[in-house]
Amino acid sequence: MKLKLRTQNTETLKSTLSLVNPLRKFIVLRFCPEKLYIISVNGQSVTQEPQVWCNLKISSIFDQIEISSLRDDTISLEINLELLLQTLRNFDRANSDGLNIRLQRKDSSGGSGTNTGNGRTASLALFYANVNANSNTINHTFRIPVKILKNTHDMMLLKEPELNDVQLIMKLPNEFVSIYKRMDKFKKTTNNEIITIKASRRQSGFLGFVLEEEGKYRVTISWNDKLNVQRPNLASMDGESLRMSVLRNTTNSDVVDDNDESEDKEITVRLKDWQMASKIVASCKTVVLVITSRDCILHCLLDDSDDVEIIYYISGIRIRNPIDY
Amino acid sequence: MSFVGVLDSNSHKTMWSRAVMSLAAISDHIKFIITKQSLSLSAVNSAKTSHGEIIFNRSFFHDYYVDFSDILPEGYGQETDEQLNNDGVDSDSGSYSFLINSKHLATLFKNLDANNLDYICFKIYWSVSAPETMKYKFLIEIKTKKLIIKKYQTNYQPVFRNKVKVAQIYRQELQSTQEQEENTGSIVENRINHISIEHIIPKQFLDMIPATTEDFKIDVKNEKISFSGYTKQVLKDREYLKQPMSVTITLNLDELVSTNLSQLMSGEEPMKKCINYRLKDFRNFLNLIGSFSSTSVSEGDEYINLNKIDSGESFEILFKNPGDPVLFESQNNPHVFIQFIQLTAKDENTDAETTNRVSTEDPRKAKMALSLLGHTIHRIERVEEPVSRPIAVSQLPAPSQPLNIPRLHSNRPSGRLPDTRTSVVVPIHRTPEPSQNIPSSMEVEDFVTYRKESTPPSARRKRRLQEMSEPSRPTPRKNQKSAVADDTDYSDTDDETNRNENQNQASEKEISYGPTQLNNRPKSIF
Repeated sequence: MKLKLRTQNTETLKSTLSLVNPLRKFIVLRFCPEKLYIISVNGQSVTQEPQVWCNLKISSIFDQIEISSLRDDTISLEINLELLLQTLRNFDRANSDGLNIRLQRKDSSGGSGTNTGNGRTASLALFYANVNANSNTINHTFRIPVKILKNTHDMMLLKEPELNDVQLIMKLPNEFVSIYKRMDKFKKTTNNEIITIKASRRQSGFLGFVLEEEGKYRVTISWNDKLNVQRPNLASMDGESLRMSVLRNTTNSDVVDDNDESEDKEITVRLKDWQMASKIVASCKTVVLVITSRDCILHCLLDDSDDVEIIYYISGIRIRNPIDY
Repeated sequence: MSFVGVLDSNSHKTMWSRAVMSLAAISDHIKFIITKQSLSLSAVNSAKTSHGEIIFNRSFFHDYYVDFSDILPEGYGQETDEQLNNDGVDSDSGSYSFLINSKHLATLFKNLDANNLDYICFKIYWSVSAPETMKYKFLIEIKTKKLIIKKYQTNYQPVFRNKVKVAQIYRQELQSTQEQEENTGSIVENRINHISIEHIIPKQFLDMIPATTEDFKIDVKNEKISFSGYTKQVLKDREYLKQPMSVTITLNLDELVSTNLSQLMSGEEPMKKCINYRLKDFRNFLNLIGSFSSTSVSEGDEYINLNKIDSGESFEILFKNPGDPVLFESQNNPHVFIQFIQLTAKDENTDAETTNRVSTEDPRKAKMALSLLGHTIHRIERVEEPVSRPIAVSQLPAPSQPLNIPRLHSNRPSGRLPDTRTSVVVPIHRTPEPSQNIPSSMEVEDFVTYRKESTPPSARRKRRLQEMSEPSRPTPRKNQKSAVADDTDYSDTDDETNRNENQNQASEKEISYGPTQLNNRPKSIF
């Protein structure tokens, strides 16, 4: 297993990581020959909580790349995100020409190189040379302990969700983040509060959020401006073609019957899960909302290029049926 | 007045406050040592693994006055000849040492707004003839720019000076190491290693490492030196309990201001050294020297600034082997000298090797010299104790054993003397009971020392020295310690209250003592 990377500019990596940062303390980095995946999932119950999959074109971030492993040259690591970000910030502040990243077997606790004999612990070493104000050359090395994920159980958990039964997709305008701010006011009421997202192609595109507390209030917040809500032709499609179809802004050939109530779709999610995406929505150039029969997905592009995709999955809650209630 | 120190300059006031805060972070007690040349503040942590000392030269003060004449014997000490030779200090170097609760000082000097203060003045009345209410008190007077004078006083506990000799020994050994290596051309075993480094390098380094980092390592190999901050990792069930990041900076030895590690002898391998110690107090030291240099820069004192740039704002590190102390010294300000000592961790692998090497000399002696001592309370039982002695003699079953008296006296079990004291009506103004300042902390209890009345002064000093040099000497049993404290305090009080009165009164009191002592005395004899 070998991982050797070098970069001069960590800006893209840093901004992507800081978008994922509020979600969880640990993330999984998956280095593949073409892509770097930054994955934030809950290790225990993957399906219950929102997960984020970022995929970055590895050649756009690093200028020297060497990845080799027995598993299709793919290396997956679990790492403390805050420490990684701290290191990247330190590198930014330094006067240096390049950051090197290596995967090392060595123990990070600095003892006399004791190997714990535990196959899963290693450290990710990030190092660079810095010339300080008194023109001393100082080499900095940061060793962050990582857990290498290689057994099948770990990998099972780490499967990118598939998009089945896509019902509606829409490109959200950049100003959409103000809806998040509005909904923030309801966050404090109850911890586990849920929110129902309603979308429809009728009325030249409708997207609304219903907040309700039994017997107390019912609030609907909706986007008044026009939305290009589309129904994809295929029931199931991968992220790539989905995004393309939205970005191309293909005019919808279907004629929408404004009286057809079956056009209305809705999904219920946790308000907290939805709100956590606010930073991502605020910073990304392109945001596409996808509603399937069971999930709600925010598919984002960080900048104008295709280099960084951030996909935020929220699994919907089944509408409470009377027996559960 | 026996001691006066006045701080006038704003930067010096700030430095004083920083120094106090820095030492307060090490220990609950700060030791003051006043000599004619300097005022030193020091602190040892309770585990006795780190020691910080800041020496303010008398030139640091706007006004500095010390008068040792007629001084109270507790806390006052004179260097012996041996120490004098090593120090090269002139012969009349007396010193007065005492402990102050650092919390008291910290509350006073924390967030000190130096610009709004006119002066800070410290005063001690340590003369025997000083008024009772002024004795054993550290007086602080602060005048603000708004012409308000604030006066504070705190009790202190006189202690022995207990000079930490690590620096002195290391300096000597460094010199002999250098001489030997120059003569023989080969590396001396067990040498002292010396590094002088610009303080900005470790400072910037410490800014980068996570605040939770616990340990620090200095590693020398391949003509490079590296500093690492790390935390020992804790694993449980293959998961990290502690998830530490280690940060290392590496630089070539020639980037240092100076060092004796790079003298590569022909045919010899590059030197390999590695020491580990706790980061907390090292961080404290670096913050302190960092703040000292920044205060004078912000003052805009051109003259000092130039000097500083010349000296490169560096500090020195002296170290030996793992397990031995590491010494940090900084003298970036002409008036202040900062010295921190930190015990290093002993690597188990090299443990055997080290002990073998040391065993040629007397290991106990070597170790003792390098260890960090706790504080020793300096107590003196006065010779002229007019009341208790005649009675004690008369009460003894066998008057032919007067030599035993002092020992019996000091070993008296607790609970007796307070009774005695309450039967006396005299104590109007009592000496502040110093033991209140220092709650029964381990460091104090272990080293309680007390004086015998019958010992002649010269023998007394000799004994005191003995006790200082072998602090592990068995002290009285635990339940007797408090008795000793009570005892000593009682005799002090008695003595001082009586001094200003005449002998007649004393003989009157004799009678009032009688019954209590008569009843109790036989039981206390073993």
